[in-house]
Amino acid sequence: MLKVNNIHVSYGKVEIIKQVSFEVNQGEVVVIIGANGAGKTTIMKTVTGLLKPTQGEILFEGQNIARTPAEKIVKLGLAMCPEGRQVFPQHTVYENLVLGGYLIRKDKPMFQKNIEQMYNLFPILKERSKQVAGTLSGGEQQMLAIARAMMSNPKLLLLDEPSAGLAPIYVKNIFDMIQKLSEQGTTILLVEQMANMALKIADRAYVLETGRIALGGTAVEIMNDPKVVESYLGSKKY
Amino acid sequence: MFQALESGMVMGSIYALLALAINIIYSTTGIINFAHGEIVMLGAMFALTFIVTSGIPFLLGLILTCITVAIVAVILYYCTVRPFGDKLGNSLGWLMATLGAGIVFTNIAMLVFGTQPKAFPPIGGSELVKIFGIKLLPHDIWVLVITLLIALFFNVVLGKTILGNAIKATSFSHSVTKLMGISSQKIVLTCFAMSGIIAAIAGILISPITFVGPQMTATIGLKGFGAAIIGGVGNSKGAFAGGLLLGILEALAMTQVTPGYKDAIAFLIMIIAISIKPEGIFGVAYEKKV
Repeated sequence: MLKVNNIHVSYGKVEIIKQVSFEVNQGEVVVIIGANGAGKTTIMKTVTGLLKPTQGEILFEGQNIARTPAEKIVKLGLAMCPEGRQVFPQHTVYENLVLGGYLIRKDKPMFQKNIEQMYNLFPILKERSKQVAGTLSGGEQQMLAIARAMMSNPKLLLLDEPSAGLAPIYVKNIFDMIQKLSEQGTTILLVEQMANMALKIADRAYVLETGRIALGGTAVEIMNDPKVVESYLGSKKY
Repeated sequence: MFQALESGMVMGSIYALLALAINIIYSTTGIINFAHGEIVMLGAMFALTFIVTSGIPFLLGLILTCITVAIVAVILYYCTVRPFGDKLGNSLGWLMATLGAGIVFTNIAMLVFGTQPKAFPPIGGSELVKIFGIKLLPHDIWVLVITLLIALFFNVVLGKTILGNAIKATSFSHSVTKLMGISSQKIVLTCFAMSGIIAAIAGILISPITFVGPQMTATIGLKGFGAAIIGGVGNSKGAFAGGLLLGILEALAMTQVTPGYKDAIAFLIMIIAISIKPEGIFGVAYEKKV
């Protein structure tokens, strides 16, 4: 579904991503784990078109989207829930969902169906539909951000650190939701620091280290890799 | 007293229209268009050319002026704002560029139309009408009515439509707006075009009051910024509150001091208002949630 081939990404003269390749197949949950500053968010921004790679290609369903503007990439069926949630703070919950469904706004029945679906998935959003999003708690904002991304019927959903800054109970909640979305047929590319939680729901995983893919394999392989256990899972067994 | 109140409301409406256009651009780009006063002047110039010189019927002339000025505003965007990219907060290039564009507009107007101010007929003729003992021109009523209509129109557009939603989203973040599949660039262009249309209308409305000349908006333009700041930059309700407040206070002050101090009084009001409430009447000191 998504195939990233040897991309390089720079901010000015500093190259952040060096020769990164990975792929996401239909129906999978793929996770990219890595420390702060490894370049996880940069990869996400590049895939969604907010940043442009200096080299390499990004194929989405066979089409090279490396030079396509971000707003056109969404139309192809690739939505992202950005890092730090980034819900529109002065819009109500409902208005946030309306903006998420901007691309399907002319198809009223579909739009209504999606809203209902999101309200079913996240009942708290229905309760708070008239509330301004800036007043929601972090966990609620994260749910809203995911629901907003799902409004455009994406084939591939990108989630950039959905667990960042959340209370542990919400973290568990969010990962359950991600699993649910995956079971309902959405392909998911996830970037996380919470490696153990993410690996549990993932099919495959990549480890990103200072802008390079250091390791790739099935989630189970990665989970049992001694180096990963030591640096990311923090449960070294003696 | 009531006469002063009335003329204050008329000038205040004009300041409000200027402030509204400035706010619309500010809210999506975070920049202040320092050429806005000159764009209003160009609106008056085009209206003069279409309606007075060429004799095109008023309504058609108004529409033509709106279209022309909207195009000028879009060109202004491509020449002075676009080159500085999406993150305009990181550079001040737009400041010099828009200021410079204003000077260029003034000089083009001088070359093409001459420096002599020309008269522009007031809407509804120059016969005074008397309402509640106040003598006023039909034009003054038109100014108030049109400003009110524009205010209501923008209240609906910004508050109730998907376009308004998208404008508000763009003012929060261009990149997140793009992730919704909305071209933030198109939204910004729409805002520049809208500011041009409002400028055209404002130009036609001031023309009979100030006469049409290249310098006609030199101080009015500044007062428009003042009104925007008093009301709270980026807030369209604030634009109207700030504009009317400035216009009325200025006119009331004129009943006490000689008209020669008019501009000084206006700027004094602005300074006082800003020092009392720096974020503006409707501005909220917004706290970012982590």
